[in-house]
Amino acid sequence: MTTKDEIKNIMEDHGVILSKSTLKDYFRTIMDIINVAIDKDVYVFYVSITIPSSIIKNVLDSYGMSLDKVYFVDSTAYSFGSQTDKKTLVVESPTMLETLIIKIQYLQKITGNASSIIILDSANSLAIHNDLTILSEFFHVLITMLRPSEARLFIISVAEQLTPELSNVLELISDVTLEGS
Amino acid sequence: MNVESKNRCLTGISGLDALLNGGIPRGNSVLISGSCGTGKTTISLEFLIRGAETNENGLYISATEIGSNVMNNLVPFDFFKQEYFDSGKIEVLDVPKIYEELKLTKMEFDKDDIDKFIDYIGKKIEKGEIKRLVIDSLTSICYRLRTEEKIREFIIKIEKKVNDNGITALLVSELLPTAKGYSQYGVEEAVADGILLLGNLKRRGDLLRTLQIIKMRGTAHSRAEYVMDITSIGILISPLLKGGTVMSL
Repeated sequence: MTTKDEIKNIMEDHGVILSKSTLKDYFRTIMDIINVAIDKDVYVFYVSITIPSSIIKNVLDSYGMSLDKVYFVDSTAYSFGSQTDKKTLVVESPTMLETLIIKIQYLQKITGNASSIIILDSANSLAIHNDLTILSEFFHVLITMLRPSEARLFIISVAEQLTPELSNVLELISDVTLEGS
Repeated sequence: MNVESKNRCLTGISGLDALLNGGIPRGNSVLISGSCGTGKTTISLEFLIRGAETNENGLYISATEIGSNVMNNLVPFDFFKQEYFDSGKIEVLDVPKIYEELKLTKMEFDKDDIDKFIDYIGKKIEKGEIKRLVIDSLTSICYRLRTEEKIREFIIKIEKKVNDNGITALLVSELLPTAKGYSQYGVEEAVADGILLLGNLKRRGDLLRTLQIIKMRGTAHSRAEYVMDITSIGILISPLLKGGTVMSL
């Protein structure tokens, strides 16, 4: 079974998916998730904590992937005025966790609460900027908000960079773990 | 009257009606309190526009800025519709013009001046079949009342007009960032039926807009603090995360 097939199957039954990939597979996993979303014709809300959304967009473009239904929430820029297009929402800092939740809420509303995949990239980066107490709370609030909707949350993490404490929190809040190859 | 069955005015502001257990009880005068930049005017205007969307006429009384300037600030919002203003569904009145029309030139109003002003608003409410009223700001109007007694009398009379006409009012209250209470003169918060407190919360260098319902007569309501964001589709809120060190401004 390919990773794409695995992602498709997992999405059928689970709302919150922890993706634990190796550093080597990290980007391929993200591409696979977006590919699945494109195949299923659902929206993608890509919450970027690690890599600027412009780079992700360029990569998707270079693979010829359609960006029609892909929106970005970018908190890597540290600059409010850096918003370049209507499909990219800027959050000034990854410590503004409530604002990240509100931006996802906003995207859900403007897309008519249609089915969506939310990619949170990544738990490791969020943990650099936020302590574990508030981060756990953030995940709980976000997941509680998403549960009633037709949304699937993929929490991206890099296995070799996870601390045991963060790993425990992620395991606790996720429905299932997608292990990288 | 059974508090649960009291007729509600749906604010239409995402998430807020749920915190109010189904909206503001009709006839209530609610203080929107906060320091500068907390979103008092935006939330008040969205309240009027959401009302116009459901055929509830609104009246916006502007005391701090020229009404047309306030409207211009609304243009970028997706929910803004000029037709609501052109058709009179939402009427905008400038307080200096009202004072001029009523020949209220004194720097300190007496009882007759208060009555003239209240009557004027009352007539506008009746003529325009107003269901939603915003006074932005109550603090500016109270500046000419000076004494606690006159401020109390003014608010009570406004509340009576609001209640008698079954309308719902938002009364904007300006606070200093260091204020301890919910209003400038201390009287407003005691007399108002409800208090919606907007704030700025500084957390690790980030400034978050917050919203909290302090009181609301006639309904059970949330008492938790929420983070608020002003987006192109209107106000959106999310629970304030309690972890971490916080400092209120």
